[in-house]
Amino acid sequence: MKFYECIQKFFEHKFENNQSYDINKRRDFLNKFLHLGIPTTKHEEWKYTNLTFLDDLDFNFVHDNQKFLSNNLLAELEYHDFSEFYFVPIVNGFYLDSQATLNGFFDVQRINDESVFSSNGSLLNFERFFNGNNPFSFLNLAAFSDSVFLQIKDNTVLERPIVLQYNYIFETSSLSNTLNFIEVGENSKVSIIILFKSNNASKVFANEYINLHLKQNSSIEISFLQYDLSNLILLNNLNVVCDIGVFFKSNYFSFETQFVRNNVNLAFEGINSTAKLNGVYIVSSNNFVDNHTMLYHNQPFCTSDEDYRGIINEQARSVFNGKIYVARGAQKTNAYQSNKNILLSNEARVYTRPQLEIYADDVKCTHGATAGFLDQDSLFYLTTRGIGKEKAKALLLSSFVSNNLERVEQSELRNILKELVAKKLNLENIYFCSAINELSKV
Amino acid sequence: MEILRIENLKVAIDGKQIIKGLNLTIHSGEVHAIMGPNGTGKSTLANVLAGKPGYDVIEGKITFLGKDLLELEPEERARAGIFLAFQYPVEIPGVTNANFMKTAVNEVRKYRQLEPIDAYDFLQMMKEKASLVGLDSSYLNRNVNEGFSGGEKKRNEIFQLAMLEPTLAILDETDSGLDIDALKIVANGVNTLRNPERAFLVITHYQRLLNYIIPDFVHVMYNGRIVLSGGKDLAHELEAKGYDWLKNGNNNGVN
Repeated sequence: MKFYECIQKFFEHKFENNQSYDINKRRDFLNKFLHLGIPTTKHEEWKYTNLTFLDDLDFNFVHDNQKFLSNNLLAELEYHDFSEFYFVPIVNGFYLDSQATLNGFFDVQRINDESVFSSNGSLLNFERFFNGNNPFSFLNLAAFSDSVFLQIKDNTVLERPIVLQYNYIFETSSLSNTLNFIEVGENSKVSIIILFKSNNASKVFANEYINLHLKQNSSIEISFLQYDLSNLILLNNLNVVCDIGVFFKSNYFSFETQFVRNNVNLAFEGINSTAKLNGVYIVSSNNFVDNHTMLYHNQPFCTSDEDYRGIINEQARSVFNGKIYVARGAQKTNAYQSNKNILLSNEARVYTRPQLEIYADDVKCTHGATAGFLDQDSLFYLTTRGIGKEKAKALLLSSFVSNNLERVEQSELRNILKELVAKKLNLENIYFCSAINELSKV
Repeated sequence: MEILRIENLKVAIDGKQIIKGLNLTIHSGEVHAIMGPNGTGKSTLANVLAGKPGYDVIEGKITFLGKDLLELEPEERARAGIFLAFQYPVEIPGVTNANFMKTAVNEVRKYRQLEPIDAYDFLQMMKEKASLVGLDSSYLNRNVNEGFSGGEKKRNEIFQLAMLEPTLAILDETDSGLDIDALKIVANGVNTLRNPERAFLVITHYQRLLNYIIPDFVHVMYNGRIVLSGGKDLAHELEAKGYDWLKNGNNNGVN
């Protein structure tokens, strides 16, 4: 019950007496959330995602916009690997415009409740995704602290990626909700990296939303990077609407995440679009990672391709739930889905569930899911070359996820991911060999 | 110098005895060939020497360079100087030959208390050894055995042999699946690697390979034992008479 009390208190403290919020709208959404409640494992979409621990969390909600940010904390914002990229920081639930690096081809604006909620507001396109499948979607609408609208203009190709970085540097247990919108203009192309960084000093519950509208013939690669999040409960939500002829690619990388739920809801609302969803998770100790994808093939001639791979060690657990809905009339749909897992211990658990719901009769849909252990013949082969068992295992594991790493188009990010995976698998010396590969091309 | 001594080896898989009392001694510089019909225990012998899990050694002793081989893990055997060229090499997507070999070479060097190999030297070594079996340098960036033809896989095995410089190289049916040109390339590679310190144990079903890799000794294995040993001419005799010659018991060595 504590969680509900905290939410109520939070709401009263932050919103009731604040003129800038549309309190009636928000109160409605709060009631919807309270009515639905924290989903239990009886809820179909939360069957393997146990949230009972939320009851015992005590959140302290006394903080105000930016006041708490000391210079030391600001220094933490710098992320050296991406220093060359455009930078949009969101710190403890607020867009920090003073630290942003922008350019004229895109626009980042803080938007108010009116422009979110009004009859032709930003939310309009996405309202359908805020429903009972995820009660926390209403919590977000009730309690979002800030809302950013990122717009890439028409006919724009951004050479460098935009990094949207969520920073959690709270000193006490806290809640973070932001409601963000990204629009990619017609014929435009962009790469966006969503980074989650936490100082892990206190327990943080983050319930973040990105609503992405891809206009005609636009193209995006959106990459989520989640690692070393040992004290963060993250509900990371992406809602996507695709117009005609769109190319969408997502990369989800989760390493050492205490509790992450990635929700992707994507709707094809125009013909000839493609969505590729790529994911890798490597978890151990008592980590939990959950990837839920829901693809709505509402229009014909669209292709979706999902490939998620995971390595689960010790007592960690992972969930994959991929649902594909093909509407009546969405002929010539191609939908592929694959989820493969390697378990490294007897206590590790994988729950994987592909689901197809098809109402058209001229479609190609395939799905597959596996969970298994390392291939012993491969392991033996490596050891007969003098490679120790631990290193041989690590090589095979890196081999297992290598295709998914290669699918990342943005080269700097791809290299960083390779390094992270190598480090995670104790393989630093292996990937050093990429230098050899370079040399041998000369 | 004696490299390998196998004494009264008896091996079972899942309770079924495959090798039933095998003796063999190999000295440095020698090439031994083991021939025999299918299902007679040849590949089992190769796997037991390399340390593949799942085989029960129920009796006997294997001594490699004075050490009890059966006490060692597969990687320890490799570092000590045993190399097995696989009959069916494994594909490892996402790991390049360069990464694979660099890891392997450095693990062996570590065991021999040598520094990790310099990147440039390593590259030169890779190129040199690859050319030995007719693999061009683009091969170095390809993933281990992924999408390789049967011939390329076998050439890759010999390339690895050249890189790791073992004391005892075991070739398990290296000729299977090779056309005559690939067979010659592989055999030439092996012949180049013959030297007075190194010994080879060549396991083959057919005599064909032995036209190119001339053995010092030929052993015929049947029903879990070596039933006949001789010089290189024994292979020709076998080829002419067929394995039925053994099965029909027309030879004193056969029980």
